[in-house]
Formats: sequence, structure tokens, C-alpha cells
Amino acid sequence: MLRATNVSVSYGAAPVLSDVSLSIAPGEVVAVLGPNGAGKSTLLAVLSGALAPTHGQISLEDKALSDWTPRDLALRRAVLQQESILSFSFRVLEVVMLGRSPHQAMGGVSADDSAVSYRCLKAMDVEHLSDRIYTTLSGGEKQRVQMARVLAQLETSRDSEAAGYLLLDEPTNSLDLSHQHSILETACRSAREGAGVLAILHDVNLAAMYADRIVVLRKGEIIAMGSPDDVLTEETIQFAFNLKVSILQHPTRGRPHVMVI
Amino acid sequence: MSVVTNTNVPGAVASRHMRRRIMGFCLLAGLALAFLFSVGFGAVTISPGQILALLAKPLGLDLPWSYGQREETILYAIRLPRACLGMMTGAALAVAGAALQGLFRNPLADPALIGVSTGAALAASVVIVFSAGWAATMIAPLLPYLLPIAAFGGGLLTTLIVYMIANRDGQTDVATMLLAGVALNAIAAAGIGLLVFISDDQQLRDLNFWLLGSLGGVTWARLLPAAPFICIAIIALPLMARHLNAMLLGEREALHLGFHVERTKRVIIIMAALAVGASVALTGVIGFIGLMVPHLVRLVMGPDHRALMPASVILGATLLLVADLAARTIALPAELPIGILTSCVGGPFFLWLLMARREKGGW
Repeated sequence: MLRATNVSVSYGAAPVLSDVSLSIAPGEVVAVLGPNGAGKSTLLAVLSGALAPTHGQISLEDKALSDWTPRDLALRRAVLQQESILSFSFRVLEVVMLGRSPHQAMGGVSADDSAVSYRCLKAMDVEHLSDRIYTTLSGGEKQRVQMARVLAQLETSRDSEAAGYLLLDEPTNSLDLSHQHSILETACRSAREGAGVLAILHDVNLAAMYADRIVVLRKGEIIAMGSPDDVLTEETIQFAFNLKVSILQHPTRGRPHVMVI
Repeated sequence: MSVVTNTNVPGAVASRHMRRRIMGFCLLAGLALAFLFSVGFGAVTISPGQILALLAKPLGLDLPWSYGQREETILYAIRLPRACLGMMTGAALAVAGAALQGLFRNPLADPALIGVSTGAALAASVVIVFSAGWAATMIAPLLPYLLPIAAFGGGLLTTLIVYMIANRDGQTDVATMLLAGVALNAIAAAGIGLLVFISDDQQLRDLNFWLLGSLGGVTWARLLPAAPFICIAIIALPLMARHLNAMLLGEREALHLGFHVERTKRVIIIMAALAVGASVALTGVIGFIGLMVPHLVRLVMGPDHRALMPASVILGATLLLVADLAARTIALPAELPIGILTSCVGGPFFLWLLMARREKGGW
């Protein structure tokens, strides 16, 4: 369980997150929705351990995040950031292999690492790019390669029982329609295999389709949390985004569908 | 287009590994060749056989090439310390350049360009100008160590300043980095100018000779105090290769991948300052080695620091030996300051890099 308890973050005097409590269990997909500047990325940063909360606690398996060594933590949670700044001419497969860093002792690359990396490229439907120079890829291709790197980081040996956690900051960014769905399907598959997934999304309907639970943030506070059916109501969306919508039913998936009116 | 049917590693990455091994061998062979040329060539020619025989002698080996006392003296008193200095300086500058480029995530971070070398030079100039007055005092025996330590301090300070100015939230702004370098270079140059202004004739000559960058006139007594600094950095920086690879993704990503980011940055900044400071203390400012060498290696071997760092050490040592050989033979009997030579080649190279970058959009 990855758990935030009464977490607050402020930069200077301005509060960015106030008194947020939230947990991610193995096997579930949690989507975070909210308008720009609601504190979504900050929430992800404190959950990942990159940012220490001003107040409150983050714990992984009931042990405070600050008590984990960076490497042990890296074996248990992986993070997809919004944008990648890699500007050196690595091959795509080499980029994904960087995800295997925490699994490697001083410098040693095992054949297993490259096999895992290749499998993750395949899962993201970019294995045909494995020999390409990363910097020459399109934005969407880069995003899928980064996702493959994140998946490769979390892939553990079969006998390991420990659950991993995937933290995804707008994973569907710059992806075309079909890859938006396939990246979230991949996240769901990871959840079925035992990972806990938290994804910041902008598309309310993608969240409705793939999330087990939805969290809505507004001005640093959680204003709604629960199943898509409970959370995606006209009132909540109106309050969070200041937008009039009506809620329909998805024709085949049995999930709510938000329509702007 | 090939269809991959199994999960084995496909072509280019595997062949990159193979290429690395071959290149490693070629680089070592190149270094050996440059060493033989550099040590053998000069007013008195020493043949490769004689060099080997002379080098084997202290080991108690007797090789079948004959040599005279003159060759022995020239080799051990003049050529060998000079070659060692060249190899250490070249290796130090190249590996420090590669490390700083990884830290800044940008291949334009050359120690001389961003002000690190000049900062080290300013601190060293202070020692050179004022140490004459200290020669009679108690610290006289420490003077040989004072120069590299002061240069290290100056280099460390400038690296920290550039890093703090150019780095925001784990991202480096390249323009800011280069402009901060320009400003620091100007400030340090002003300081050095001031020192030149207040120096007497002898100090002025020492200072000038040294500022232009030269391997000439080195003795074991000057070389040995700085050698440990350089050697520590040359060994320590390649050990940070995996950290640097992760840092290329961004500081936050490196943290997510399980690296101690703050510790990594500290080690790299200190070790790079150590390498640059110690080499500046010995040779003055030699520009562009730290820029050209890692870039050439990346062109052939790719940006993976596990290959880049050791290869930069070897190629840096080789290139500086070659540059020194050129500097002392181009204008015989005079000797060109090597700093001028590397800048003549490195300046245009830098411009070419800038223009190529505009077209390709990546390094």
C-alpha cells in the first residue's frame, strides 16, 4: 500500500496541497483529475518521494518513504514524468535499459535486462524502433518509449511477491487516439498483475473507462474520491472545472460518459 | 526492414557493444603510438626500441636495443615527465569535460568555456605572484602543493557558481550556463589582468608563460605533487558512469531510478574541479580538449558514459600528446604555446557543433 496521510505542501506561503489523504492498493488503478494548478503533479511528486511534504506522511508498505533507500524504492515504484529532456543520442533500447539501473549491481548488464527491456518495448508497441536514435522520434513515440522504460524498471523476477507502484503523470500526452487507450490498457494489465497504479489524466472519459477509483483535486484539496459512478456527477464536475456537463452511460462498457453541454 | 522473431537483443545495440571493444583496442594502440612519437621525437631522436629498452631498465629487464647516456638523460629528465604531464592533463580535461557535460546534460559544457579553468587559473595566479614573498617563510616546503590546491579551490568555486546559476529545478538552461561562463571568464580575466599589472618582470614572465598553456619545462618535482589529485579524479569519474547516464534523463528521473542525486552532483563537481584545477596548476589553461574529446567519442561509441568516460581518458591523453608534439615541432626551433594550438582547432570545432545542433536538434 502506498499511502499519503494528511499531506500538505506549500511553496513559501502559498499552499499547493492541503491535508490530502489517499492510498493506492496493489491491483487498483486510481485516476487523478482536476483543473490546471490543482496540485496534481505536486501530489505525484510527494508520492514518488521526489518532494518532501511540508506536513503529513507518505508511507510505502507502512514504512515512511524517507526510510527507504533510493535504490530499494526504485525497485518498488516507477514514475513516468510529463516530459522527457533527454537530448543525447541514445538508441531506444538503451533508453529502456536505463530503467533496469536499480536492478544492476556496479555496471553489470545481464542478458535478462535486455530481454526485459525488449519485452517492455513490445508491450508499448515500439519494438520496431529499438535501434532508432531516441532524439529522432516523434513526441508520441518518445512518450511510449519512456513508458516502456518505466515498465522495465518495475519488472521484477517472477518469485518476488512485493507489489510495485506505477505513478504516471499524464501518460496519454501527445499520443494518438489508439495509443491513448493502449497505454492505459497496459497500465490496467500491470494492475491485474499486482501493481498499484496512479495516473494523472486530463480526459475525464478515459478516467471513467479505465480507473477503479477517481480522485478529484481542486485548489490542493480532494473534493471527491470513489468509483467513477460516484465521482463523475454533474455537480462535482461543475464544481471542479466550472463546466456544465451531463452524464451519459457508455454504450458498451457500463461506465459513465461525460458530455459537455 | 527486418522482422524480429525472438526477444534477443537486436542489431544496433549489440553491435555497438562490439564496436566499443574494437574501439577500445584502437584507442589504446593510438595512445601507445602517440607516446612513442612524443617521447622519441625532438632535437635528439630516440628510436622506439631504445625507448622500450630504457623503460625496461629500471624493471631489471635487458632488451636488445643499445642506447647512450645522452638518450637516457633526455628520456628520464625531459621527455618522460613531459609526456606524463601531457597524458595526465589530457585525460583529466577530457574526463572532466565528459562529466560536466553529463551533469549539465549538455555537450557544450567545456571546463574552459564555462569558466572553471579560468577560475582555477585566477587562484593559481595569485599563488604564482605572491608566492615569491612566501619563499623565505615557513610554508616554503608546501609551495608545490599550494598551487594545485589553490587551483582546485578556484575551479570548485566557479563550477558551483555556474551550476547554481544555470540549474533550476533539475533542468539546465544552456544559454544561462554559457552566459554565466562568459561572465565568470571576464571576472577571472580581470583578476588575472590586475595581477599582471602589479607583477614585477620575473613574475610577469612566469605568469605569461603559464597562462598561455604549456607543457614545457616540467620536472618530476613539479609533476608529482599534482599527480595524485589528477589520478584520483581520473579513476573516480568513470565510476560515476551509471549515475551520469541516469542524470541525462533529468535529475528527478535519476532519483526515481534509485540514484542519490545530490551525492552524485557533489562527487562530480568536486572531482571535475580537482581534475581541472590540478591540470591548470601544471599547464595553464588548455581549452577545448574537454569539449572535443567527449564529442568525438560520442560520435563513434554513443553517449553511454560507461564507454564514454574511459574512452575519453585514453583519447584525451592521446590528443594532448599529439597536440604537444605539434606545438613543439611546427615552429622549430621555437615552441608554440599548446593552449593557442588547441584553441585554434577547438574554436572552429565549437562553431561547427553549434551549427550542426541547429540542423539535427540533438547531440
